[in-house]
Amino acid sequence: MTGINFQSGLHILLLSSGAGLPLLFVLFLWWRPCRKTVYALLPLTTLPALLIVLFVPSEVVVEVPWFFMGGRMGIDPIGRAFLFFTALVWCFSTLFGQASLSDDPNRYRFFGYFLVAMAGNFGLILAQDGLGFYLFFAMMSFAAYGLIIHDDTPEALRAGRIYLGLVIIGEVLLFAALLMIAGMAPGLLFSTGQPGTGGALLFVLLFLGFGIKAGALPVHFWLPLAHPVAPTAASAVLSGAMIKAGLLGWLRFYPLGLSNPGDYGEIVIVLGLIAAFYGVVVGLGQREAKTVLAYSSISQMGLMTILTGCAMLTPTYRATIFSVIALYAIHHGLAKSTLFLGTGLLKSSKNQYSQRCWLTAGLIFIALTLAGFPFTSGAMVKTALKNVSGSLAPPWSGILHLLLPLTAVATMVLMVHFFTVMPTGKASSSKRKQWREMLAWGAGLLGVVAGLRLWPEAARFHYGILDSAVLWNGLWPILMGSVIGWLIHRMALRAEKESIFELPPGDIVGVEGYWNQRKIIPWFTSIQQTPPGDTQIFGTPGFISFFSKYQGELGKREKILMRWKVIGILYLTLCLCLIVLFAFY
Amino acid sequence: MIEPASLAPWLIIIPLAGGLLAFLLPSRSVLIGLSATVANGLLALAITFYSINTIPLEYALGGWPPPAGILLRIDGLTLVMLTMTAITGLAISIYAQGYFPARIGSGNGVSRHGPQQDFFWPLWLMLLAGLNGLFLAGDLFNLYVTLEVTALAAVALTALSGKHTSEVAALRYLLVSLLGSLSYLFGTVLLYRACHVLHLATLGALIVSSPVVWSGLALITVGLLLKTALFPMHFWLPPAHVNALTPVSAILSALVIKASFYLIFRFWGDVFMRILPLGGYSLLGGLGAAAVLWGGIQALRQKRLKMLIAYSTVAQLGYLFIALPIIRHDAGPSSRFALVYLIISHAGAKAAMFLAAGNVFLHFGHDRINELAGVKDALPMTSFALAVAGVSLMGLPPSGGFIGKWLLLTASFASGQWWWGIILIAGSLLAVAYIYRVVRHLFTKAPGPSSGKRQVARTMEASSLFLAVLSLVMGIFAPLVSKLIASDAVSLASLLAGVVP
Amino acid sequence: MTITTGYIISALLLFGIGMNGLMTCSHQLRKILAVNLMASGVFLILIVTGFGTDGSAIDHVPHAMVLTGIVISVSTTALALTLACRIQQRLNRSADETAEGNDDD
Repeated sequence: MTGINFQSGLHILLLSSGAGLPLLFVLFLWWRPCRKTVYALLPLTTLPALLIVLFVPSEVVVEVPWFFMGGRMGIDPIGRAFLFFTALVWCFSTLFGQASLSDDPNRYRFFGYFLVAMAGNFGLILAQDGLGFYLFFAMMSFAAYGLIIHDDTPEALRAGRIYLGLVIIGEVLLFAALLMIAGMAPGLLFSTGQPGTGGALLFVLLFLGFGIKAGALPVHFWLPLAHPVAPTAASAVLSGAMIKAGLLGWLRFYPLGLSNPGDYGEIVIVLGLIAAFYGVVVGLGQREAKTVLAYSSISQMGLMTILTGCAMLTPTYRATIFSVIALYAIHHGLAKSTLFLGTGLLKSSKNQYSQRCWLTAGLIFIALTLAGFPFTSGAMVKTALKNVSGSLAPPWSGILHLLLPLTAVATMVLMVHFFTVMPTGKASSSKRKQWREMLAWGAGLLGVVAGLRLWPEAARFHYGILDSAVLWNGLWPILMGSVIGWLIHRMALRAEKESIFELPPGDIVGVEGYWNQRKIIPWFTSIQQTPPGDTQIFGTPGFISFFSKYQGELGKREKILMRWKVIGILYLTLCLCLIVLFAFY
Repeated sequence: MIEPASLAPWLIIIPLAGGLLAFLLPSRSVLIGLSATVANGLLALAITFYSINTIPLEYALGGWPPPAGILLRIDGLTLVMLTMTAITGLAISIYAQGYFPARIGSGNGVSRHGPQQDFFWPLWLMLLAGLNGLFLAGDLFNLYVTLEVTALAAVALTALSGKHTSEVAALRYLLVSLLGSLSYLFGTVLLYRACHVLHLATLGALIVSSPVVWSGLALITVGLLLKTALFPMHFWLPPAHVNALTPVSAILSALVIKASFYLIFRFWGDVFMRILPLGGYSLLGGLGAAAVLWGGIQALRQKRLKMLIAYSTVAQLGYLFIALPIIRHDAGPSSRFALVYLIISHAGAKAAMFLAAGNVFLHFGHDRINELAGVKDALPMTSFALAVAGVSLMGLPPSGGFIGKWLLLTASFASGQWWWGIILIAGSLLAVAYIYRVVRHLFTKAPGPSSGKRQVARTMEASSLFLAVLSLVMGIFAPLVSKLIASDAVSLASLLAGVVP
Repeated sequence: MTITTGYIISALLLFGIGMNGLMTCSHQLRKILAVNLMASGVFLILIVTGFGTDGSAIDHVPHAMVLTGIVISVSTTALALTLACRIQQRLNRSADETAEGNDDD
């Protein structure tokens, strides 16, 4: 009996320390005397989350009534999958960041934000009610701002500003959505399984609110701005882990709130398809490796969006499709974060030929994984994806059957482009530091190779059979993609450019001049224009000058209210009003 | 074991005695002031924890029963207000302890900073005594007396900076305050004529609707509205709050305003709820909605940080009034809880903002919003405090403002009064806009080298950060507050059930 | 009964005149006096309340209230007068020497 009690106590302790331990570490980071020790112990913060994935059974739920209007923490199957790769990505990135920032004067500040974002990310996966999810989601989103602006460069500040604006808009949208759901599902528990009664408005709110984090079109544009400017460890978690929080939000809230999710499934699939190809096309116009990776993330998230749409269309297969989405998230989360870490390493590996060779080899492997090379996790998820598309109703199964291999081709093309813009080592750092960074990256690589194989649900999809048809299915998109990519590269070389066409990072906001002329950006922000130099010109945002246009008018109105006579009249009027209301009550 | 109610008089005695002592011994005023506020804080916490399970409590001073004697009354709302005042007041006192020496030390040839410190502590302690007395008072007339004590001390504090503008603002504040309190007294007299009772609980049970009672309640309400600066009678608030010294601005907007609103809440949400007309609730809610919008728009167009904060107070007060109609139509205690939460989280956030603005002013010598670039580098804690307090004012989670607005919103939608919900959301958007105006400057780099002229003590930065963080993480105290308010709602229900027509 | 009514009417008149003065007079001293007038009106009603409507025993509670009220009124008037004097002095002085240093908040 005591054994059982002890065990459940342990589970509860683990569940609460999933988000609790990182927050505890933040406190100690603040406290000067023990900073150094805490810094050395940073990777431990991901340990509870990993232990939860391994040991806590799904039925254990912690109720925390004392915390913020009551919360529920637990781990359901989909949460377990998300926590699995999220914890791994954070773990590798912490190891990497700990090494690469070890001589940064602001490293404690960075890890303060880092740990808060981590706690938010773990917490939102563990939260079993809408409000808890929202709370942790907000915590993560705001803390990520600190990660993006860490380097304090003008680009970082600009990216941070655009990100922060979008986050605030997203919070407002989600808040409105939450309110609507709260009206129909008291308690906002995810586990009730009862469909909500929400309609198109709720769908739009949820899609955009979480889409901002998930890099969905048309609110994706902060991603390619923010990922390259953040320190490598931060871009890895942004692209590997945090981006999936938006996806999880969709998975959690669509069934909870929408009365008939199927109505919107087709829209979601179409948007996902567009994103899958749009990300590749715009990514080809980029010249910075990390930006290319960010666009690749947008494209890959597009594929996961398609899966979400499939799940909405066919409620009968929802559980299966959800587990496929989880597989895809695991695969992409691990691969993309390791790509980012490797790119960061390449940048700081000047004059180290053998190391560069190893790195490039590893990166090529991951790129092939992303494109679905046979025997890799990419091939596994491709197979799973094909199974899903086969189970759809007629028009979509055909369309997806045709387009899905093409997305693999597109991914490969973008990966070839990524290798052509790969950074050359610009700086070199100490041997010891690099050794530790390599170790973290190696662990990530191991995760890419073995991660999905370790996941029990993945065994359902036959991926490793030496069947020539299967092999060919996996290989032809890669071959075709490589050839197209190489051709594009040749064309670019002939034109003596780095890419065949050039697009500013952040496509929509990248062409700021256009929007500036249309007075759309100035209406919302203070940015009038961003000159090439270091300084930024700040003006008054349009919506404020809109008020200042009536400045005199508003001031005059306010002055009228300051006159004693007006006060007297108001006083008497209010008294009379109240008495009259009494009389007619 | 000491009876917790018998500790209550000490909440008045300690600050009052401290104030007198500080006045008599100006050289020790800082020490006396700090120890009195610390003692007051400990006492308030002790009373809260000891009496949490036994409220409501009553205590007759000196054993004299009413009507001749003075009756102190403690219930959940009282405890929340006392604790809020004690904690916010303590942080402001710690700030003031650094603030006056910083101004005296800056030595720009003006000798008025010394006397400012000598008079600040006695006046502030008197104000604290008045506030504590107000929250404890159990009858209509003692409420009037404490209201006047509070107002007198507040006016004197407003004038303390010695500038012409602040004296003009103080006189105007005094006259408005007098109009309000005389109106309140007039209403009290009318109610007394009708019922011959001053004791609040008894009055609530006895009172019967009649024309005299109508005009009495109307006079009391409008007088208090004037003192609470509800739109459109907010004209005195911005000049008084802006021109005062920094700790005074914080005290005025975090605590003094709440005192008169506390009375409105007492009367409209509790004692006279039974007979007040539904239309009256809608009227107050409507004025609150107008305040939210008007205050927000005015805050958007201000050029000075302190002005912006003052107009944000006008807007935030609106929320408190919007809550009244929702409470009237809501059966459960959750909307009352929401209102109390809005009150205390606004106290923390607004005090933090004023203190942080004071730091900015002290360091740069101005508080023009458009020239605030570089604050982050010069005063990191202060800019962080401003941002955090701003998040709480916007009502983002996990701030206390979020819980308050969230509960109000759900209650308003649940009771079919969705229009209040829309105003709440619109007000939050306005708050986002005007806070953003400030924050975007704070976190940009200064174009040139820092133009700061004075050092700001760490305690001053820390106390504003403390209040800001407190208002941000208030969610953790939610169950304690909700327990206190829930016990109020039970006694209110029995009051309403007893005599409902 | 008629006496009580007369008192009440004159008290209301006093309150109203005071109110009117507070709203319309521009001079600070007049405003202060007007507030005092309003207070007197309220005190008058209080005294009449103590008189007892049925002519029986005299109620002492309103009398205690009036006494307290008068004390409060004296102190508020003192504060208001002090402020008004300081404002006037400042105005007079700044008329003499316009260069007044405006150093900080």
